[in-house]
Amino acid sequence: MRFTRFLPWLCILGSVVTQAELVSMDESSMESVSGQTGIGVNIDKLVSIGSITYSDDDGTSGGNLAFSNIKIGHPDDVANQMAFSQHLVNVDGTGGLFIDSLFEPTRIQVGGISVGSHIGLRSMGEFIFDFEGTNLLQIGGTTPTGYLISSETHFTNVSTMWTTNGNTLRMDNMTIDSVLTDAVFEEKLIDATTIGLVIDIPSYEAAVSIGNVCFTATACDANSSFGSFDSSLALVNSQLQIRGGGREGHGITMNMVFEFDDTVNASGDGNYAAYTDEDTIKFAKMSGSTTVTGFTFDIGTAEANIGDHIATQFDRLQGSLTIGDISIAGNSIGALALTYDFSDGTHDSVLYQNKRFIAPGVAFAGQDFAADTVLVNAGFDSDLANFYSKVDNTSDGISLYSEWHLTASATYTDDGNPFILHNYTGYGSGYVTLDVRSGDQSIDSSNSLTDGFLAIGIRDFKVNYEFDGFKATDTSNQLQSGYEFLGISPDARFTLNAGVEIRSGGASGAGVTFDGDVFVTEGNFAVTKSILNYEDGNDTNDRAIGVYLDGVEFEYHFRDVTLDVDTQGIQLVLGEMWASYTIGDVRFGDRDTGDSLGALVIQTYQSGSTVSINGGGAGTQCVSGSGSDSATCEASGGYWVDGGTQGLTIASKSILNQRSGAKENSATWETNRSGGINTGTAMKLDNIYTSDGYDDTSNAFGVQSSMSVDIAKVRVLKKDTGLDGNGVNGSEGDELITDGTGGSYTYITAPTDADKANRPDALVLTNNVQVKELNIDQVQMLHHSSGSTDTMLNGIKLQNLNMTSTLSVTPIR
Amino acid sequence: MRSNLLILLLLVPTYSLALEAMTEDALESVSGQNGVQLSGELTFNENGGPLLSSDVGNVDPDGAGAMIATWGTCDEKIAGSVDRCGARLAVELNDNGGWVAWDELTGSVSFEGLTLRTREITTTDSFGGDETSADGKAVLEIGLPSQVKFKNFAYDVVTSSTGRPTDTGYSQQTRYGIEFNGTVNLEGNLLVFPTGAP
Repeated sequence: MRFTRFLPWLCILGSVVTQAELVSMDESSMESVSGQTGIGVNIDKLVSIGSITYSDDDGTSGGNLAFSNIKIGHPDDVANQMAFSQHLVNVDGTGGLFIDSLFEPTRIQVGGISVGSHIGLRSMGEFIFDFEGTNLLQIGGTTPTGYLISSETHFTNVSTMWTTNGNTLRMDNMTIDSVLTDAVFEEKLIDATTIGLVIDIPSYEAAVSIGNVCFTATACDANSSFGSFDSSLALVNSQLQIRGGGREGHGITMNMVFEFDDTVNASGDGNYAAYTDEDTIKFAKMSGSTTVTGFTFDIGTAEANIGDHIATQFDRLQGSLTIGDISIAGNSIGALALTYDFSDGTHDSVLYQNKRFIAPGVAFAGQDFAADTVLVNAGFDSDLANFYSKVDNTSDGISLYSEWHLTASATYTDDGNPFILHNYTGYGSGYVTLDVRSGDQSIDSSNSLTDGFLAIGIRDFKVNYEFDGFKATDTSNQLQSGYEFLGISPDARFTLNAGVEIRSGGASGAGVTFDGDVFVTEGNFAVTKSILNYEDGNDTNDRAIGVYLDGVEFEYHFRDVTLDVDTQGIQLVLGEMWASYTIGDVRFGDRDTGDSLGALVIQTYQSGSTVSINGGGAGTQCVSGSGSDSATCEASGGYWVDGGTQGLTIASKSILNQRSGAKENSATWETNRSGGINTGTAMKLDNIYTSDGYDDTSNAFGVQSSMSVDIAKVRVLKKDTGLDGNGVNGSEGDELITDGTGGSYTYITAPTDADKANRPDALVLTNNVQVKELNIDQVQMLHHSSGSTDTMLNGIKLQNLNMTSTLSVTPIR
Repeated sequence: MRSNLLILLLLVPTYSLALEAMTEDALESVSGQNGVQLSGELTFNENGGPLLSSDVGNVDPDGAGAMIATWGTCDEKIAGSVDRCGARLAVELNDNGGWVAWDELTGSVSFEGLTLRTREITTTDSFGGDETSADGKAVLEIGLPSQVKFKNFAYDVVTSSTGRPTDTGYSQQTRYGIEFNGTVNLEGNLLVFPTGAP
């Protein structure tokens, strides 16, 4: 075995000043140590290191990773004021070496991190870690070899800062508590021939709390923060294997297993993570395990757009994650279970691997994108050029190249009723850039000139995914769609370019504010699909047909979008939003070659629209009948749907503005084209807008809708007498009753109450739409060949609509 | 995106439609593919819409009598204090001309067994011989529900001098009114597919 060549102290250019003295141990520390006396060491630290360089350059591959301008000292003046720590060292007769440490306020600062040819030109920015607290480290021996290590850490007043180009993203008011128990560090065989460092972790607990996240170099103001985060996670039976040698030449390779300790889920939140603004989003009672094999760390060179980089990649990451309860503002959505397998995969002769390259600087800075014909033809180049004009090729930041290939499934459980998103495959690649900017560099000139923000650039991000459909109750059950009604495409391919700004502070106090320009090109989205030959046992025979939106270009601009969490749930206020969706062809059949219905162009322009998302569904209701309880409802000829207490409710208000310049709400359907868009004959619903019912000026109500999503048992009646598609016999009007697992079923003419308890699970959508007034100025016929326009209708007004609907979605049997 | 899809579905049926009876062969081919069976209920203005009698601008049509406003709840309409509580869809055919409206829409419609899926037409289908020329064509198949129940489903077809019933100079003539109660039996499928030049 050959460990990677470390050159850790290659270039120590600064100075290191420490002062140490021996002190006696205090009583509290001594109490945990038996039979020995110890020594105490006080250290005043003022450390300055010019740079530390790690290199895996072996002459044929690899490069340097440099950490520069490293300082350790007091947070008040890291360059000149010492940080104090006290360490009590003892040797126990049975437990081994104890080091009981007390850290007074200390700052660890890395001035820059850079790679390869970037070194000296640009970096990932400056990173600062402030902390104070205690650590008790116990190191003993174990049999047959190795070290037995336990550690208990309690840090308070922790802050982290990431600074690029003088602008800082800060997390403060943090606490970190962790307990590592009886970890075994051992050098041993990790496969037939390779020796590595193996760390067995029988138990590890960590609780992290982040009080504020903001864009200031000084302490955050809680009212202009993102909010607070906290988590508590416990692991058992976990292991890390580390060996020398990377994917290319020198480097580091790791295998890892992590398993949640689900015994902590027996009471309270167990393993959880939470975000709190005015109220809380919580992921509680988490369990599952993840295995990572062949994770490698190398220094890569000359990636086409980001240059030299840190290269990370894994052969496989597979596992499961169950979130036992997801809640918003105390209202439960239900449980979510994910299984995932990130492994290499080939699609259309292209190999997709799971890797991430990380480079310093902001790739694409200062570019005009004139060479990207897709972007230029779509007219998006100027927006992206504007976003990247705020930085240049010397700017600090982080540039990422990501490539992935994933298969997965997800099970959402609402009040004990599972609903499965079956057989997901996703893959793609693309670039992301991250840097912190000052307010005067915003794409929105109306923003504060002083408040900093996180700038996220997304470039040439090619996304592909598909899933088979939904299954109720169990994966052995029949495939169905239903995603159409949730606005989810079951099969999508698109390229994403975007410039997004994220600020701290929401509409009220803490929260998040977004501005951005998002561009989707080369898009193909399935609206609905069927998979032919799905159940013949041979996947290679599968062929999807459906209704596809082909040649999609989607331009989406949003300003001053705020996100808050309050007692009513997640609140999104959309500020101003304008968008254009161009669908080249609505295809029936094959996604690329199916018969086309023509083109669609939809433009939207909204201000002050809102979206509210909360836990809890529609509760109980009588469908197709009347009555306030099950017996009355069933007696009236209807059926009782009990949505339980869990579920999801999404309420929205869409305020459609009248046309302003090029911004408008309209929908155009075009056929008989001689070329692309605007070469044929089109019907246009022109200047669609809402108002409050009595004139064209008041516009505060918009289109308001509330949709609740539940998984619940519903009545399904047989449509025809005879065998159904699964060979089950019954008469028209008989009710489908399952065996209780949702698998096999029979048709029963007069089901008992016991039978009705075994009705099939369904996706139940309960919706209410209200409109005071929705206007369409004109319905026009556009003759692009001659340039003439005819008016078909001179106006349409929809007033006083209050429509409630309940829809249950089950497979076709 | 959801709003896009809804608009798309509204547009699709206007293009090309056909009705067919579903054969046993066709039923057997349904298994294991995809698609959905839908059951549900639509209710319009069960007790009125979002326009309230207390709204500014919600005027009494003639300013006399017990009526206090044009729009209000259905209870207020029954009590005679407002003129209307249903939904209204008005269309102006000619510039500065009159309006045709689907007015005072209220009531509910429920159905069980509506199916929706995409499939390919094959020569085993029966379209009076047309299935041969359409062999292999993909269609959106809407399987009609066996029964559709109407409960107090009512509307008027009217002609109106203005788009809004609160506009100055408003007058309206009801051409006819409909109220449905009962059950309609439906059978067959609606096939939607593109034809012509896109």
